[in-house]
Amino acid sequence: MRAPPSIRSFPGPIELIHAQAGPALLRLARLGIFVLWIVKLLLDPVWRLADLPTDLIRPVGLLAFVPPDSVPFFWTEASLMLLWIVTLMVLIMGLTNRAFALVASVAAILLTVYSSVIRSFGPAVHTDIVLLLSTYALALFAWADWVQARIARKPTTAASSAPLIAIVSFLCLSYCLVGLNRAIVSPQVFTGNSMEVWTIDASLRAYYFNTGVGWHIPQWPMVVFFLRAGLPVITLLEITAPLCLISPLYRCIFIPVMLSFHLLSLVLMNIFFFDDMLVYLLLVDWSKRFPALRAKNAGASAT
Amino acid sequence: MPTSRARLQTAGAIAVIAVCGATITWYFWPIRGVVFQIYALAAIFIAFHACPPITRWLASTPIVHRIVLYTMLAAMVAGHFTLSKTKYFPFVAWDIFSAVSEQETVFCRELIGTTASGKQIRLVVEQLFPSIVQFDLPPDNEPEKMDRLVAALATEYNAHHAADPVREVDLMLMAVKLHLPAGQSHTQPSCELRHRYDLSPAPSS
Repeated sequence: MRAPPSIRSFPGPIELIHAQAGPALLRLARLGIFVLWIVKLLLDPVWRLADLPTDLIRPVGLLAFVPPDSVPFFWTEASLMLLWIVTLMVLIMGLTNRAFALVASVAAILLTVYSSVIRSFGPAVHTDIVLLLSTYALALFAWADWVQARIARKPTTAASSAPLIAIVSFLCLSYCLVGLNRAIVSPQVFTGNSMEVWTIDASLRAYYFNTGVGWHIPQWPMVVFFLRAGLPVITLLEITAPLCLISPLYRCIFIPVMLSFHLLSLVLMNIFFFDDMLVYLLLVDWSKRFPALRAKNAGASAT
Repeated sequence: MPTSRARLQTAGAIAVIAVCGATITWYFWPIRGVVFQIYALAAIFIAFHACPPITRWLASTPIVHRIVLYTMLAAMVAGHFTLSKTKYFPFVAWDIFSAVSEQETVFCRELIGTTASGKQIRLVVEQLFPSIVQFDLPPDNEPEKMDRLVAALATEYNAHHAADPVREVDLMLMAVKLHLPAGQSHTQPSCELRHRYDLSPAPSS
């Protein structure tokens, strides 16, 4: 038995985002991601970390492999500044698109070290992880293009769209894992005081941003109600985030709701992931709107 | 129309999957949170793999690109199930806002500096060292670490405010009650002094 047409058409068209993307869109995405890293580095005086006591360091990722005896040599102002300068130079080289696979691979390694350095003084945070994985994707798919060019000697439409679809997949999967983890491992957070405690705790701690608003919520019962009611809604959207890959209608709901959620996190909890917000730009199927960004043989391969 | 033999095969396959799932769940009951997440992810992966636009796109994608995509997705999922947020960075556990908290009062420690002119300022690690996204102050039972941290924060602050340097730093414990008595409101969190660090330069002889 088939469902009536009104029900069948409810989810709207089902089509893979960026399936028609051409090299121009991929080039723009590469530029966007590398420029974003450059801006992040320019705003970050990472060498100042050398002024913090080394006994506060809790090495993360690759840094755990640095022998403890070498830590004082690595955590100096000179070596951190060298890391900053070399990473910046490699990222700028990446903008030229020359030997991109090699440059992006070096950039990915340096950015991993940089991201590990800035995390080594505090609890692990998830900011810019999707951006880092996106850099990995750009590098690895560039190598895949190189291998493919040697095997087939002919580029395909999918070769341009693959990195973009992969980046959107990472973003969606990160949300999905967060939502599943919360819903399955600790469902009690939806019924108790947890949401208020997180909000007040994050608001009392002054992070880089400091709005000083969130700790007032015990005086605002309506805000507490909406925070509690919003948590399961956001968790549901997080779990279903992979639908962004295939449903334009779902993206129309997901993007404004999640952007509002992240802005609310900034106001109430002083937490803001501006880099992830910019990755949201890839949740728009640009090649569908602008033919210039479409692959030449997109019509044939997308249908 | 499916034949009765095909129906029987489908029912048999579902039964086998159900029995296997139940056995695995029973065996791994202590880590059922992980097991249920794996089931959910497997269901999502299978559903997406059967989705026609994805099937078509995968069919048109070179094998090398598919390997890269699957490897990275698998690494992300594997990283999540290591349950570690740091060890295999950037393939980490995506454990965000999942700690259950039922406390009635939220406490937070803070460093408040007093400058030479008597001005009070917050010494925030994340603001003085913008590379750090989040920082936890050393626990009370590690006073030496806290001493060194306070000295580093004061030095960093003074480097940018040489005209009005920090002379004293107070470690404060702030508290906010979740449920206020009726008719009561607060304009500031309640604060308690835990320790005072004197940073005044020693008088020259």
